[in-house]
Amino acid sequence: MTISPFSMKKDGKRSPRLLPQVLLRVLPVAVLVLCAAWYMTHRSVYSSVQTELVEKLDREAEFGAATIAARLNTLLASMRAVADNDLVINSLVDSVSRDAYIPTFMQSLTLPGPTGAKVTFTDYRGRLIASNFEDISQSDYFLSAGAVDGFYMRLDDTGATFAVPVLYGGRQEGAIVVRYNQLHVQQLLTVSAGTDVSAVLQGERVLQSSNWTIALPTEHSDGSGVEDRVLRDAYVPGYTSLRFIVAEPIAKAFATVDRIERMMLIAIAVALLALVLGIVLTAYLTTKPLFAFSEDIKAIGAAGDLGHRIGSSGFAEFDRLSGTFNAMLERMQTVLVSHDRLDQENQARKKAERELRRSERRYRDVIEGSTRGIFICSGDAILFANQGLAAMFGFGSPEDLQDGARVHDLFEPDVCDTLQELLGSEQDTTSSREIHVASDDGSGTWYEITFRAIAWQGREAVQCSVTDISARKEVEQLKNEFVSIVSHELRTPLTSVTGSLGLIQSGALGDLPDKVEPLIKIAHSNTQRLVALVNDILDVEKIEAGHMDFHLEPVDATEIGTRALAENVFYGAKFGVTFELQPEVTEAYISADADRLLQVLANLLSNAAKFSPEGGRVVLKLTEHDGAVRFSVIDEGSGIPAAKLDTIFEKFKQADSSDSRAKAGTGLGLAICQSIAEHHGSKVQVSSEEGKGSVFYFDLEQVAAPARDGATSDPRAAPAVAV
Amino acid sequence: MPKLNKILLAEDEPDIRAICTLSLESLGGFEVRTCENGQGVLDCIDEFHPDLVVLDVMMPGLDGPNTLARLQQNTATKDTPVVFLTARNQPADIEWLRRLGALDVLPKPFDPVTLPGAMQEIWNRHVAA
Repeated sequence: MTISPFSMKKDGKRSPRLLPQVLLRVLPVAVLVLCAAWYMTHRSVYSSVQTELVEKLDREAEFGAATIAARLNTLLASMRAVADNDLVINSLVDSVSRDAYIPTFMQSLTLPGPTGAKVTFTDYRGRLIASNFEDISQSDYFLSAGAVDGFYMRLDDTGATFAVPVLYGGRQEGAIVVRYNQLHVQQLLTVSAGTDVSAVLQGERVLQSSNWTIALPTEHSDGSGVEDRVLRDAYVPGYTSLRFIVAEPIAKAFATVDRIERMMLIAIAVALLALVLGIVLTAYLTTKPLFAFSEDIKAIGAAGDLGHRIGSSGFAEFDRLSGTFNAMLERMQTVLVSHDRLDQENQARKKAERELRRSERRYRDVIEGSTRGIFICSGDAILFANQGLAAMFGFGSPEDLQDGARVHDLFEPDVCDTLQELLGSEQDTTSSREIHVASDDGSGTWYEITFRAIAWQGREAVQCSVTDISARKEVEQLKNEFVSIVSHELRTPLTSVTGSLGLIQSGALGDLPDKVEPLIKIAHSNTQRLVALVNDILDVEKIEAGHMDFHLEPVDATEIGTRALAENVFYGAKFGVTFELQPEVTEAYISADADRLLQVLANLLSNAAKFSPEGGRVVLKLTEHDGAVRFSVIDEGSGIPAAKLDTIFEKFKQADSSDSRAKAGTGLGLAICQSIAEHHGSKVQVSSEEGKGSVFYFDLEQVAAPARDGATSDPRAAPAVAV
Repeated sequence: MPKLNKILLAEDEPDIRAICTLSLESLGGFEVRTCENGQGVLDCIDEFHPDLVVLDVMMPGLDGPNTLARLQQNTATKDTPVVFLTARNQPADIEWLRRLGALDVLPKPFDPVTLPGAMQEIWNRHVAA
């Protein structure tokens, strides 16, 4: 048989595959998580880089501003020193002398900062007093005269103008004006900052820039702030119109960060790839054992080989699954094996049942086909009957009998009684009886019924076999008639012959001639022997045919002994032998047919007399022996040779055929005795010693004394008259 | 004590009849009359008045048991003792014949020498009873 433990659902809808499902679920999440991580990192790195950059730029801006302030301060300090010079102050007072030394002084004057600065000395109205250059613009002088707070500074496209007042008596009397051209201004304002771009601005005007090509949008002009660069500024201390600006392109500042981020992105990509690969590998590793498992199961299903076991996949989880499955297979196999065994047993049983049915049919054929009537009954009900029985009692079929008839419809009540008795008996207890069923024409039929106690379909029953013995009965009848005829027809002439010879021999009819007398004697004794022989033959015939009736009843052993002696005493006298009774039991009763028992004793006593020497003594001894009465006939004769002891009870055997006296016997006596003894449940035995005599004995069980009615103990019933 | 004197014997076998007569008359000294069957007994019993009737059981015509029954029906003869002679000497047969009312049953074959003695003994027992 084939077992398919798994069956695919055939609803046309295929289940999705595992791998895409996993990818579909895992990948977006992974990408999302990675992106989030990346974004957070990006944010945090950017913000820190930016902060750092801003701080750096701030430092640079302040440094630049301080540097410029220091230069300007140095320049102003130098100009003040010039303004405070005695020569300069004297020149104001002494206008004559001034023309002499001031131009020279001015010519030799050097100031810190870029060389080539135009230094001019003016009066309080801004009129030129002296200069180291010729072409000094009047306006500047004039302007410078108006320097407030002791300091004037003007930066424009053409250059820068610085002025400090020259004081005399606490009043401004003149001014020192220094003029730098554009190049000089550049020199003065240029601060080398560690930044990409640095610039100095006055207001919104760029005075100097490290990279004029780049526009410098200010924080203030544009609220959006830095676009492609970060810009910080610091006011030059003491010169608040000036700002020092530093800027750094974002790209540059973030170059490292961007590199890191690129690497991060690569790492993310690699991670995603690894993840996908991992998933694919996992799916492969997961599904490979699953496919193998599936193939195994398919193979098991196809081959029906439940002995197959799923091997290890190398993974504990699958081994657990296959272990579970193997356990299931084991269990199924066990179930299947027991199922198979059941199947086999079933087949074997079916075969046995077929055999049984066949055998039953055979026996049924035998039984149903039997001409004997066979039936099985329990109580009054007929459980089974065969055709033979149905035919015997005029039924069409056994079923009619089984359905309708009861035992008491078929047989007399005493048959039913026998059935009832047997019903509770031990199995195979048998019994049989002959019954006569009268028929309408008066002839009737004889049946022999054999009963046997059996178990029929689990209940106590009796099997009965009915045989029509009418034919046998007829033969028996014929035989009986024959025996009767022999008894009558043979005995009657014999009676006449022996009677006549007896009468003649007795001398009642007159004396016989001397020569006749011995012949008559011979004839008489031989006819007597012939009579005895006929009688014995008839007895044997009856016993063997079972037609000798035995009426067993309690009889007194001593009384039997007395009678036996009395009835045979003449026989002893004939041989000159004394009979003696030695009863050693009193009131001992035995179960016996008195007539038959006397027949046995007569036989044994006459034998003993015959084989005893003249003047000998024969003793009939009654002794008790193991709860039985032993009848012993003891003689003092020649004894029996040991070799012949075994055969003397056989028919027509005598111990010594040469003994002339033996000829007086028929050779049937002991055989008859033995048969009769056997019908009494006993056995005649002999012990003998040659030359000393023989003992014939038999034992009869003692029974309780009877309630006396006297009818059968009448000694006249003895058949021993026949001698 | 009445003596046994007259014996009426019914026996179909002439030889047996002759031997019995010879035995009973010569040896026993009885007066004997014989007939072939039961009918003969019935015919002559009123005239002969026997002391004892001896009947063979199986006889042609009227047999022993039926003769006994007829004798018992007749008030004149119902007290006459009857002895059966029979070759059917099975105990059951003997018992059956005794039940019919016979005084005794003598089995065949009998010894003619001892027959008168046996008769006398039966008679003596009968008289004593």
